[in-house]
Amino acid sequence: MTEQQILDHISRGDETALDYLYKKYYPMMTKMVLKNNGTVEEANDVYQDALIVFWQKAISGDLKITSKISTYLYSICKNCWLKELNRKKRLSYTEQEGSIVQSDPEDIMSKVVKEAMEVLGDPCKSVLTFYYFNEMSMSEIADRMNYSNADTVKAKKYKCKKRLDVLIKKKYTQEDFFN
Amino acid sequence: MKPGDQEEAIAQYLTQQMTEVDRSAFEQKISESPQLAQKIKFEKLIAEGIKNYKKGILKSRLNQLELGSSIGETTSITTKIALSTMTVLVLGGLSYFLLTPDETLVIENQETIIGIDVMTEDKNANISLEIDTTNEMLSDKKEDERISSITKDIENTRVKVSKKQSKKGSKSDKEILQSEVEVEVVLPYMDGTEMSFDEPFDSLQDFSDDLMKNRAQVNSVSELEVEIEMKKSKKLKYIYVGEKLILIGDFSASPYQIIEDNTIAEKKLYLYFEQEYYALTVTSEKKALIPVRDIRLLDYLVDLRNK
Repeated sequence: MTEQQILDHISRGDETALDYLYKKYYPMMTKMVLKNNGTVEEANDVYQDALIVFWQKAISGDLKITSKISTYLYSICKNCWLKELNRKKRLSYTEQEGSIVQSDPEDIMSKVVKEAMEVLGDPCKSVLTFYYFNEMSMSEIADRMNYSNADTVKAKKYKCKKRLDVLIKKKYTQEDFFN
Repeated sequence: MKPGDQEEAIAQYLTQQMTEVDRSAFEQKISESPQLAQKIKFEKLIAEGIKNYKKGILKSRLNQLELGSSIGETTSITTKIALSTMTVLVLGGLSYFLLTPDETLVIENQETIIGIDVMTEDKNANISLEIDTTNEMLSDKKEDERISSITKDIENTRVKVSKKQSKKGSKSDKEILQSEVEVEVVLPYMDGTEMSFDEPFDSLQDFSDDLMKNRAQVNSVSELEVEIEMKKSKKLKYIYVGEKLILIGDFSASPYQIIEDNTIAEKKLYLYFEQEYYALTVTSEKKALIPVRDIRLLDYLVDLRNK
């Protein structure tokens, strides 16, 4: 598969392209983390995060790639690993100082959203992830999900988001996070 | 603005779907209304939650993929290829020096084939290396033809890795895994700057040194340079300093192997030659090669070599 073919598959949302990339560059990318004092688990995690960042950029049309995919992926991996090392360093410092590590609001919300999305089921799950994760326009979602037009998707997305908000607010409100 | 419109505007703002003009106008509103600013913060958390949900799905998809080889195996394959290539080259070199001036060496099997069967069915990669040894044929030719023939043949010796998957997995997976894998290291470029994929980068070293002290590296391709000092004496000796190993003695009778043990914190080297294993320690003086006699260590080395 050529690099252009890979990018074409990604733009169509074909997740087998993600599998292909993952296998193709697995040794190269994980080796970078291992060579820089990472464990196998950390190497896997960093590589998966980097690949998803790449996927998200490519699928949303934000990607302006001027180099090989491997070079681009490598630089994302490197940044992810630097970020992780920084996080670990901060954590280690906080533990030494005896400070209490507070739960991250994003982690709490992610847990709540995950549960809510499972309750919502399809097609709401797909509409919301296409909109927020893939950053697809209403007409793109309409094409992908065989809706008649963009307005139908807009109405569907609105209803789905309302249902999600209700499920979230059963557990947490805006005030729980900010007051 | 109706509540529905405001929510739609927030969603568009968070997903970068606003025009520049609308965005500036909306940011002006945010700066004027603390309630709106807080609502956006909350909506941003929800949007991140949705993104993380999708990321989780993609990650679990990737975790279920069966990789052709694990990290350790990959490195081990690379090491084996390096060793095999080294053995072939050393054999070629030795043969050249041992032949009489009237004889010409022709390497018939120019391709050393290393077949790797990846058995994904039971998730255990079963790797077998089949090395076709080079056959030697002698014929009468002039001295200068002999030298150029040997050089050309050695240069043409290629190492191929073919990877086969037994079965299972999608059609595309099969196509990917059955295709030949290039062993050559490609240095990609970005804005014209070459980047090495193998070397540790200094900036990371600064962060990680104090965090990760005493952790063993999983494995690395040996940079070891091996030199043979031919001597007819039966006594085998060696010098091992830096990344250079000099083997002294008669190593022409059979191929040797260098075994690198990276499973422990401190890397250890062993030599396998004519059914014997020898431990190699760093020494700048000539040191006699003494065969390993410890049964437990021998068992371990046999295991390591077979892997």
